[in-house]
Amino acid sequence: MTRRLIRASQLALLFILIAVTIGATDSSARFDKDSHEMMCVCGCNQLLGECNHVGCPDSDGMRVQLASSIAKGDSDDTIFHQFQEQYGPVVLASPRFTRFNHVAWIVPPVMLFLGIGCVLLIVRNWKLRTVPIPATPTTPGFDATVDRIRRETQI
Amino acid sequence: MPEFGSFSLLLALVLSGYTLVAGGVALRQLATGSRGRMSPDRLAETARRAGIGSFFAVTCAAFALVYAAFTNDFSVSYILHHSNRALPGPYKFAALWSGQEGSLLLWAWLLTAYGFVLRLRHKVDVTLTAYASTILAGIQIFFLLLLNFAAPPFALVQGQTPPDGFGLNPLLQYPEMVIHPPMLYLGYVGFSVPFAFALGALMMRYPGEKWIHITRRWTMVTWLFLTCGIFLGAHWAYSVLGWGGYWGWDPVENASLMPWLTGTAFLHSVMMQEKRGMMKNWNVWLIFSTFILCILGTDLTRSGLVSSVHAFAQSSIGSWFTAFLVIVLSICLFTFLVQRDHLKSEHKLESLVSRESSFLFNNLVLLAACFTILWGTLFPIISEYVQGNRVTVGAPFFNRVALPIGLFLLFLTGIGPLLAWRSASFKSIRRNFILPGAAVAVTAVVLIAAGLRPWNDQATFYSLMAFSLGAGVITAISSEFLRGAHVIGKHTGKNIFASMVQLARRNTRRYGGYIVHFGVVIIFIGIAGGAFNQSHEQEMNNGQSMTIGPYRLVCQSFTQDSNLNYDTEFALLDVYRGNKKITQLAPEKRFYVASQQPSTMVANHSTLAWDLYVIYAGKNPESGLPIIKVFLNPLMAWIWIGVVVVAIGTLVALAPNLSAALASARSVRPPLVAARLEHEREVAIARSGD
Repeated sequence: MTRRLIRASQLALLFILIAVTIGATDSSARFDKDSHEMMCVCGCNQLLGECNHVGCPDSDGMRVQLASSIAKGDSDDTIFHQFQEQYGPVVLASPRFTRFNHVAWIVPPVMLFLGIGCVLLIVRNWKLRTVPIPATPTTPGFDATVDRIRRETQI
Repeated sequence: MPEFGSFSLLLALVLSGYTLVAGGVALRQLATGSRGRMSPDRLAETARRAGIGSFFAVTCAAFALVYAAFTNDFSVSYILHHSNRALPGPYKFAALWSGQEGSLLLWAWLLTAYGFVLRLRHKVDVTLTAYASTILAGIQIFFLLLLNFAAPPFALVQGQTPPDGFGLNPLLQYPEMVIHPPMLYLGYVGFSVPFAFALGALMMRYPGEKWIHITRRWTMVTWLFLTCGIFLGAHWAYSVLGWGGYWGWDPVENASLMPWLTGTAFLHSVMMQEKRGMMKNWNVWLIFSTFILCILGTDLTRSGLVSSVHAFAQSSIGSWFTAFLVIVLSICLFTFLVQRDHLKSEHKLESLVSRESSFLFNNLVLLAACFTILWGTLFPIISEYVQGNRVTVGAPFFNRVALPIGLFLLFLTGIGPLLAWRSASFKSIRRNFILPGAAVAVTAVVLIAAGLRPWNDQATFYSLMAFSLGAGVITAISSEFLRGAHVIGKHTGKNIFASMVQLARRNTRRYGGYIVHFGVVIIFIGIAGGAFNQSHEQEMNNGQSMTIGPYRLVCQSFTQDSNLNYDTEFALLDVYRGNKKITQLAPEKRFYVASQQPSTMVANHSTLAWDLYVIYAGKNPESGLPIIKVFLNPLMAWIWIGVVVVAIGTLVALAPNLSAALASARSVRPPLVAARLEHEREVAIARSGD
């Protein structure tokens, strides 16, 4: 049982690592990916890649700027840095991994794991404090009934 | 009429004030045994009747506002700013909730309507209902104070009355907007009732779990309204905003999702209190939190603290909501601290592998999701306070953080119902999990073999996880249904479907819950389809075509038209699949005359496999040709189908168990009492292998 649990945990960890580390690397998809990492600054609160206002004063220019930066071969970090310099930090659709912004990303998983830890601790304490209750004596024919139920509910 | 409306609101405030004061005094007298000039029972009865009267008063005010909209009374400032003469009738009605003052009036009306039903049904438990009615009156007072003094809907226009109004926001001129806000508000406001019962039960140290039985239906109905409201909003965003998506993690959307998450957690954990007398503290705080989150969401968006496309302009009412929030939180905390000894659990958790612990983890994950959303919504404010600059926390953050939590929840949806109460043995786990586990593995292998490459990008990986886990959950649910139906079929001779229906009717709550879970899986499958969205944008002249997926779109014509309400430009596009014409779509761009605002009218051809979603993005000013943007969104329809299944499941769970079904089963096989069959099975599974 314990070995199975360890194995299951290892598999879960592997899946989490894959989920965290994999990312779109295809250069043809970079424009789409990067335009979904930035906001349109016209005040519509939409992602740059999704802003579709007629006559939006900003999104077309920003998209052209993004496309030319990608064509020049700028890295994502450089592009985001340039946009941040030009439009301010609100242009990035999610906090970058810098200084205090780390907190935004770290707090939710930390809280989840703390919660899981607390639940495990509480359950452990409850189990330790619980006096084992002897199994109630089975009524006559209980085992036979149990067997029949099991047979009938087998699919 | 505006004077009548204003007077009605003032009257409603007085009546609610009386309900609170007289109700409070009567309950105090009942609790202490003291007596005034009037007996506490009679005093409480007058309070109840005043509460009922407040409903009629607010109804009159709501009627007055709707009447003003229909009669084009532009002397009322609210009507001037949210209606115009050419506005179609249903949207004039919808003007009631299209602005701040009107939506607060709708909130107050729904609150008094819930209070009306509660006060009429007071015989369920006179004392507990009196407590709940008094608490509801306190909430009513807050909203009526707002309506009378901070955001009056009947404020008059200064100077000369303009001949026509400024019109309704074009984004709101869509059929769903007539039902989405009331549905959402029914959900928000409805949580006041279980909150009032929970707080009342705690105040009076109500014995037993009866308050939970009384509020169970209220909570489920409210949850259903909130669910439908959220998804109607998503469907509206999908159909109107024209960006091809349905959920943008906007603060207003987040504000509706947070109480839904805590409400869902409450609906699950309350079962532990009913069945095992456990988690009483937790349940009380879950329902408190749900109500508080409803108010907090409103506070965040209306105070202008966070920017949102939906948010009403920054106004002074934000501080009212903050004050109300502080008062509610203080009362909850004080009552809890004073009465917490009343909330001791009757049982402890016996095993980590049990139904109880699955509920515990389900609650944990739901609360983690809620916290993540709250954290992401508030982080821009925190960042501004700490770093001095505001950052954006948008869809990429929520998708990265909330999606894994959602998948974990899907996983728990599958395993929870398979675990027995108290303790599940390894043998029973193996027996129950072998089929769902196999379904997960087979689905993953088949999908990878079919060409899905989860290692290519994160979205595909999450999709694969969602499809595989979904298959596992569906298998688990189906096996539960099949097992029960198999037994019934064997004893009654009915076919498998009739047996399943009888099974569901016998324990509506349990099997209704399974149907809800099934609906949730369908929604997840629909969401997972989003990983394979395609889009294409092109200028199109008459006769030109573009291809996306299996479809070919040919531009037949593009033209313009106008009516009293709006001018419109649209293109007529024939849609072919192979050489067969399957439909014609007409995406539009409207320009509303009164409000001088443009709006997109999406043309959508929806099938079970995908949506062909077409937007008229405007004309190229140089060529004069229309720019057409097309999305191919796979599995989109399944999201809306899933919501319908969730609604059906909730309605099944709300229905009473049919004793007739039990009687029929008993008559066929008296020795094995049919009603106890399931219980015995659970006990047997729990015991086997111990």
